[in-house]
Amino acid sequence: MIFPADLRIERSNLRTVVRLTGEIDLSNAGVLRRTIAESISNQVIELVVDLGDVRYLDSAGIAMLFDLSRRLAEREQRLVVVVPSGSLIRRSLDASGWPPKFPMVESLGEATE
Amino acid sequence: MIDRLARIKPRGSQPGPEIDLASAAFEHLERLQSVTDSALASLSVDQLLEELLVRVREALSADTAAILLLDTRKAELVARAAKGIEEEVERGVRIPLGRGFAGTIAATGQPVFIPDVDHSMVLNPILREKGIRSLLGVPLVAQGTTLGVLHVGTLVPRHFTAEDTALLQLVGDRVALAIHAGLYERERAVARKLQHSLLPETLPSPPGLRLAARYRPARGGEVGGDWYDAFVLPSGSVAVAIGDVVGRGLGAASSMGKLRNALRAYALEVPSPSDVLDRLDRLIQILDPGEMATALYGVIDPVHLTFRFACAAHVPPVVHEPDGPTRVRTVDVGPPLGAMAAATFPENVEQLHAGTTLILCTDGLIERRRQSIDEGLQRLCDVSRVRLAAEERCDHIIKLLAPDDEGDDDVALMVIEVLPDQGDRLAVSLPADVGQLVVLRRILERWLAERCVEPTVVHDVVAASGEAAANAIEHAYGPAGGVLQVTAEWAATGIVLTVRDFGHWRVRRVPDRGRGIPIMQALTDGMRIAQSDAGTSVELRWRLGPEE
Repeated sequence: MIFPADLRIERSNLRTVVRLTGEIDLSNAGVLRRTIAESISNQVIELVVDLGDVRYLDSAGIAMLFDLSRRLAEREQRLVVVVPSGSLIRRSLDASGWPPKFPMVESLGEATE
Repeated sequence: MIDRLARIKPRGSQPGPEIDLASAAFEHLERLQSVTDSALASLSVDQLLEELLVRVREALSADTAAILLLDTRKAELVARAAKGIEEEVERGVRIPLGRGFAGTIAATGQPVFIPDVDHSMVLNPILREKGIRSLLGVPLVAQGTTLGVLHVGTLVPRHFTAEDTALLQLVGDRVALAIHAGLYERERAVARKLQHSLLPETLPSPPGLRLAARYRPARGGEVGGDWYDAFVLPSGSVAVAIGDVVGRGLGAASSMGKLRNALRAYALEVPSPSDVLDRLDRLIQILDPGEMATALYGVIDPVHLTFRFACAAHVPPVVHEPDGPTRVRTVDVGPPLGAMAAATFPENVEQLHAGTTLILCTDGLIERRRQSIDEGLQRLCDVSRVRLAAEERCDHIIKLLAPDDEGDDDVALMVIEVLPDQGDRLAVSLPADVGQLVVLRRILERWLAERCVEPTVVHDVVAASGEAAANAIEHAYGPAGGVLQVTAEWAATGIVLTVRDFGHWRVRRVPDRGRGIPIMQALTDGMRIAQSDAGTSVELRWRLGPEE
């Protein structure tokens, strides 16, 4: 529990899925970034961060995603972010200059197809 | 007394002449005085036991004296203090209840005299090793309960008289009283301490709500199993719980502690109050069968002001509305926790409003002899029909319904007050701390909900002001922190919100940040940053209205 958010990590051979719930802001983004970064082994090819149940995401949370994406890219791993199009946090993500080339999908199902 | 004593045959084998009878009487009186000396009253329990053993051994010219206490859980007697056979305590001798010399005394509650000890009858190896020849023992009884055994022994065969037995019993009674008072006081002190440590030291102060609570022990300071709890959930919702474990004293206090912690753990895992009580119920049935408790657990959404709760045979909430009736909430209830298999705890939803006060209590507050619970609840409604803030309301209710040292039962009371809406102009001051960001969001969300602002705009207002506040927290103040001021004004045509700090901005050190300002620009219809020596203010604007 990383108040006011929570996360569950599911690991499989080639993929780590991190499901975040609650709210991500300056108070917990740092801890979340470390926790998620530590969950990724060298073997996985991608990290899926599911933001489907995240009600709030501020620029510190978005910076966390950028940072994870950069670290993964350095190791030839990739980050897939799940944000349903109806989610209000997409408004902040779009405003932040989230690069269109970064994979962003509608659902966890789509991410793990 | 002397006359009567003089007629009793004195100790010793030779019946003496008149003069001896008189001196024997004085001697006896002296013995009595030695064990009833008022100076003994100032001693601690341990010192008193030691001293009484010394004196009774002397008074009865015995070689050994010992006190064994009953361990009721194990049905055994355990040596507590001894003179002449100190090994008994050191070796922690244990005698099964009902067996042997001491075990028989404790089981029957009658004195036993063994003139010539047959060692097959005596279970205590130390008595055998010492070669004790005669034994006299009496039960230690206080308030009808046998607490243990006091016995004396001699190394030469000895005939103990009825008078000796009476003297030993007198000492025994004194020992029993001291032990009872000591055990009782110690247990009560531990229970009080435990109870105190298990109740929350401070209640949370979530935005828009004010909480206050009281716990009052029963008459004589005895604690029971009543408890209350309040904490903020990760969602920002506020969890409140109140309950009553059946029983009193140490056992009830420790059960209460277990339940309270289990409830906290479940509350963090499952959002539904019904499910939380359901799990708590199963936990008791599996791990503490026989335990029973009533409880009410609920979650207050600070934005939409709903109170979702479930109730396990607990006292229903009383709802006070400033401009309406003060009423007892009708509740769909489940059975007490731990009472029956496959119980369910229906969910109840109460819509709160600005100014509503919820009053939660345990039955100690409303129960009176020869009066129904309904009458008690009615009385609670009557005394609650006042305009008072949460803390003062608690004091008022306790003063009128549960004055100190008057109840047979302990009392827990929790008052939750929904603070009035701030109106179209909002003004909030918060410590400039990252933990306050979630608080600010809840304040803004409720303010916007009261003004029926649509969800996208709510998001944009909350997110943009969150960025402004986070910037101020990160850059305006040093580690000592400072204050963040948020003011907002709503009109049908738009919203203007200003986030102010009173610090000097440091140059940004982390180059990767700086997404805050583009986000604010994108989510608002206008933004202005003004910096001066006095601090920084960020003004954010949104247009509202039909043209949008």
